[in-house]
Amino acid sequence: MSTEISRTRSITLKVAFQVLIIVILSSLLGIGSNLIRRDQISFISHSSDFVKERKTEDCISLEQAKERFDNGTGFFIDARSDEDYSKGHILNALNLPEEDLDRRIDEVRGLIPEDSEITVIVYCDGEECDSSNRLAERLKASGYTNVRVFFGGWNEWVRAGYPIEG
Amino acid sequence: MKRFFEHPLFLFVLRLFLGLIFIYASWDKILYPAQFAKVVYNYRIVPIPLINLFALILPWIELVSGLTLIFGIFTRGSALIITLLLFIFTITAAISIYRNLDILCGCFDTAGGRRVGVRLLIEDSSLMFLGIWVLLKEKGMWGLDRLREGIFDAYRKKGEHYGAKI
Repeated sequence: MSTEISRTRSITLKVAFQVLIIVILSSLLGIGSNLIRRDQISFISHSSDFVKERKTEDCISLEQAKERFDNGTGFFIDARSDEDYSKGHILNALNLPEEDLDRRIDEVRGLIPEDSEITVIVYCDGEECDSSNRLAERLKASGYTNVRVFFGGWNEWVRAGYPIEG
Repeated sequence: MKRFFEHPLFLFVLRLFLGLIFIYASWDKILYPAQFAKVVYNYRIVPIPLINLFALILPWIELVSGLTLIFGIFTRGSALIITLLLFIFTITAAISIYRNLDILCGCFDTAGGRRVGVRLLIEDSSLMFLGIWVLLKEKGMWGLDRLREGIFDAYRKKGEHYGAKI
C-alpha cells in the first residue's frame, strides 16, 4: 500500500516537473522571439493598444444615421447573428452576419449597387462589438465605396427610441 | 471495445491528432502576436496589462506541448497541459456565450475565424475529454520517453552487472 502511495507521489512529481519545464521553455521562447522580431510588442499592454481603430471618415453618429434613415439615403445592415437580429433590429435593416457575406454578396448587390448614392450603414450591438467594423471593411473590399460604421449600434438606437421591428 | 480504446496504437493516434491540432493552432498566433493580443482582449478575461505577455507565451505553450505530445517526450506533462488548456478554452467559450459577447474565436486564425458559439463549446469540451483519456491511459508507446527510460534501464542493469551502483 505504501509503495503504491509513493509511486503515485513520484508520478505526480514527475508530471509536475514536466509541466514546469514545458511552461518555462515556452515562456523563454515567447519572450525571446518577441525580443528578436522586427514588429515587437511591448510586454506590458495598455488599453489604448486595443481600442477599436476608427477613422472619423468611416464613422457615422446617431444623428447622422437617423437623418439618413428619415430621408431614405441610408441602407442599414445589421452585422449581428440571426438570433440577435430576430429579437429586434433597426426598422428595415438587412441582417448580414460577417461570415455570410461571401455567400450572399450577389443578394446584397441586388439590393444595393456598389456605387450607389445611398450610404451603407453597418451596425452591431454597440461600442463593445467589432463585427460592424469588420463587415464594413469587407464590404469595401468587395467594391462598396459609400460605407459607414454606426458605432453606437443597436443599443444607442433603442435608447433613442427610434423605429425598430422584430 | 475497451481493448480498442486502450490499444497503444489508438492512444498514439490520439496523441498525434491532439498534437497536430495544437501545433496548427499555435502557428498563426506566433506569427502575429499583436493581432492575437486583440483577440485575447476581446474576450475580456485576461487583465489588460497582462494581455501582451499572455499572447506571447500561450502560443508557444501550445506549440511546445503539441510537439512533445507527438514525439512522446514528457508525454504525461504535455497531455496534462493540453487538457488544462482545453478546459480553460471550454470555460472561456461558455463565459463568452453567457455574456453574449459578439466575438470571433481566434482559435486557428488571428484574423478571427469563426464566431464564438455553442459549436466551439462542444468542440473544445470533446477535445478536452480526449486529452483526459490520453492523460489517464497513455503508456508512452512509440515515444521518446520510453526510449530514454529504456536506455537508463539498460545502463542500470549493466551497472549492476559490474557491481556498481548508479
